[in-house]
Amino acid sequence: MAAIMAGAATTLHAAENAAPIIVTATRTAQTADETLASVTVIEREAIAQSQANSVVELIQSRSVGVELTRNGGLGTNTSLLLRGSNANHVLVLIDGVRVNSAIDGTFKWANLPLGQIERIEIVRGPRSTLYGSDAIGGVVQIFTRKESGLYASLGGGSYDTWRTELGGGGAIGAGRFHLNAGYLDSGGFSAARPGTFGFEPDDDGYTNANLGAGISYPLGGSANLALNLLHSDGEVESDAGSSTQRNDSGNLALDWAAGARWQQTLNLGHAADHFETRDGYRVHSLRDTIGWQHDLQPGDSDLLTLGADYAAENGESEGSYDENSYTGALFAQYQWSGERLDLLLGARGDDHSGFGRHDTGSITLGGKLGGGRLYASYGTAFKAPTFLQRYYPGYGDPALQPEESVTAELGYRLGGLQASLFDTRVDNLIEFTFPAGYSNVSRARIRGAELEYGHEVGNWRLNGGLTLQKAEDEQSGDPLLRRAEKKLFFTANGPLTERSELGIEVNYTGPRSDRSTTELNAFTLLNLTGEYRLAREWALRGRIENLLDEEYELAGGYNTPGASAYLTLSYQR
Amino acid sequence: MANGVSNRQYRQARKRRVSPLRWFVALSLLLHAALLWHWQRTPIVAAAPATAGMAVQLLERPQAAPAAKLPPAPLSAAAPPPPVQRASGPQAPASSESEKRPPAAATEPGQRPATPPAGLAAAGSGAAAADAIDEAALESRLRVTLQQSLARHFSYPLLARRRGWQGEVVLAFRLQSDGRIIDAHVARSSGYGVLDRAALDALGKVGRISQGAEYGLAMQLPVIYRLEG
Repeated sequence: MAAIMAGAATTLHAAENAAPIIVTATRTAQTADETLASVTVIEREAIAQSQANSVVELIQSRSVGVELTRNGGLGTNTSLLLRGSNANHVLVLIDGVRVNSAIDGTFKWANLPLGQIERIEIVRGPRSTLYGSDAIGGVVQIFTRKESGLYASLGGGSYDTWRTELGGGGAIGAGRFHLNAGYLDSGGFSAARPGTFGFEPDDDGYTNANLGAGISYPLGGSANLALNLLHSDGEVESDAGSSTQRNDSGNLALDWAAGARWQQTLNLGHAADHFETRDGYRVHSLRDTIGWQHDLQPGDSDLLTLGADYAAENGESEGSYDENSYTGALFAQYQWSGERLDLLLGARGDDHSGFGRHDTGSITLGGKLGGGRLYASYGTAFKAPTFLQRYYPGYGDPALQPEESVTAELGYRLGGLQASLFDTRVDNLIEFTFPAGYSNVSRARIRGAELEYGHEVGNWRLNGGLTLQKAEDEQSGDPLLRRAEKKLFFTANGPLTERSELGIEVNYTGPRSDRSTTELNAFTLLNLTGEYRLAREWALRGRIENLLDEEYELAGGYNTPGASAYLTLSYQR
Repeated sequence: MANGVSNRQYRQARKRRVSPLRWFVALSLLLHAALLWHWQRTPIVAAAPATAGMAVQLLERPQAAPAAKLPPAPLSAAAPPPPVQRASGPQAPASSESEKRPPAAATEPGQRPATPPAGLAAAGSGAAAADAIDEAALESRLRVTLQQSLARHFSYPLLARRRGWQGEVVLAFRLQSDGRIIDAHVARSSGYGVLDRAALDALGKVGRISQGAEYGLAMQLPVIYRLEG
């Protein structure tokens, strides 16, 4: 693995100074090593190029294994299904803090502003041995934006949409700070289509104000203290009325070297998800976490991670229930990354105040093959029952057991190409039946193949991906709803002239079934993006979405944007 | 669909509110044409083979005063430039800075520079030119031997890769006449204990190189850890 290269030697002019040795390695995702897992990383550069209006649309346009469902326009209820699993089977971490709602287990994707994001890591496959509950389909880890300098943008476009961002960062003593603010207002369109229950023909708009801030400060002795906060406040209209969705998350992390080969991290996290409708329905999810992680490096090519997590969760539906749950966990992971062979072993035990002890484990073996690297993995994961499932009056059951999964995966990575085959079985799935309520009754099996590539042709960056999957209810044999068997994406980005850039996004989603025998048609979305640099610091960016004006549904009975265009003026210094 | 007609009417009503479709189509065609034209004009360059895992590279120290900070290394790891084989004849100095030092000599590992660089006398400040040439050539060889011996022992610590840690560690040591490396320590930290320790341990693994310095030579070795991709 270590290729050595000798530069031309010069005479030893200064005898006491040898030429530097440069040790390089490929950057790995923080969530998981790409040589041992199926990972897609989306950086700020791609976020800026895409100018997508929402996080899920961006992810869907650049990652395999992702399904997007949405009940209307911007701000409306949005789900991201990873590898055909449920909406609450994907763990979402913002700066390392778990942000899924404790009420229903999902993350409110619609309320996460893209302007606050620096980097997105999409890790497919089970990760419960490191993170505990929810990571059945995978993990999406969001890192918030930490810029140096100043930036600002103002844009608008179709559906009376206006968007502005302002922020920056810099040095503060020995440390750094950042501050990002954003505001979006969109007139929208009717979320429901005519004929859908509760349809009202008026436009359903969305307004969001968001603020992110943080500091990072070295304490000396290789210790570092970091604080990150994110607040997002959305007001969304639907055919039933308007509602408020508020998300707050933050963490305080202390990182220090306890020895030359021993790193410790103490992480305090907080996440709040607050939802209320104008007619007084209010639910709150609160979670406080503390995590203590040790990374021990016995040699350069192995890494032992040991940690303890504790989470206190509160779920309240006003006038209905107000409950708490507590989870303590211990975990260990060992990675060996040799020249010919890789090994990853993980184990975790979670102790939950409701259902008790639940253990998970995983093993991954990898090795060099034909210039690339092959891996095979086997892992278990689980999803703790949510507050809604446990305490919903009349239908909840506090004795519910966690949903459990087993996944086997085979993957290969060669340069910018990655391919994987997976087979997941989810057992004890919690389902609602009338009048019995929630119970652990269902089983599902999801099999799939994913192929993703990225490479450069001249100055053009090309990315593409193919997803083939079969997600079915194991008892009835019926396909799981809203999961397409075929999906395809392609993106290209590159310079057109010295001052301008062009981007193309193509996304095909095959037919899939939805509730009550509706079939959602296959669709192809074509988006074009462009950038023109007016001056060194100023740029004009444009996006044309759904250029083919494809009529499609992401959820049966709900509208999606037609051909639409957006223009943004941006400044960066 | 039972409400297909009303859907379509509604859909059309909605469409009227956004800009006319034909503009988008026209713009699309224009952009496609521009793109195709551009693609045809752009020579297609085969993508450089991506490095899997890690690579250790040696880099000649750019013209810089001993104590000066390293400039960002000009190497791309995805496609490292091949070892530079330069003519050993005199080269036109590009700047006053490079005037002070001899031009690079073509050197393969273990191979003596063919001809002493012509501009070398200037480096010998007062010493006889011939002596300076001999000494310089010897040192040049020593330097290559040293680099060759050291480089393969260095690797990127997994923890640093995972955390995205990068930096430069400056190691100090003494090279004895029998080729042994002694008194190794960190002269300047990278800011990350893991990188410092990895560099020091790697140097420790070298122990001894095949060529010694006639006199105990105090040396400083910068080790740069850099992540790519």
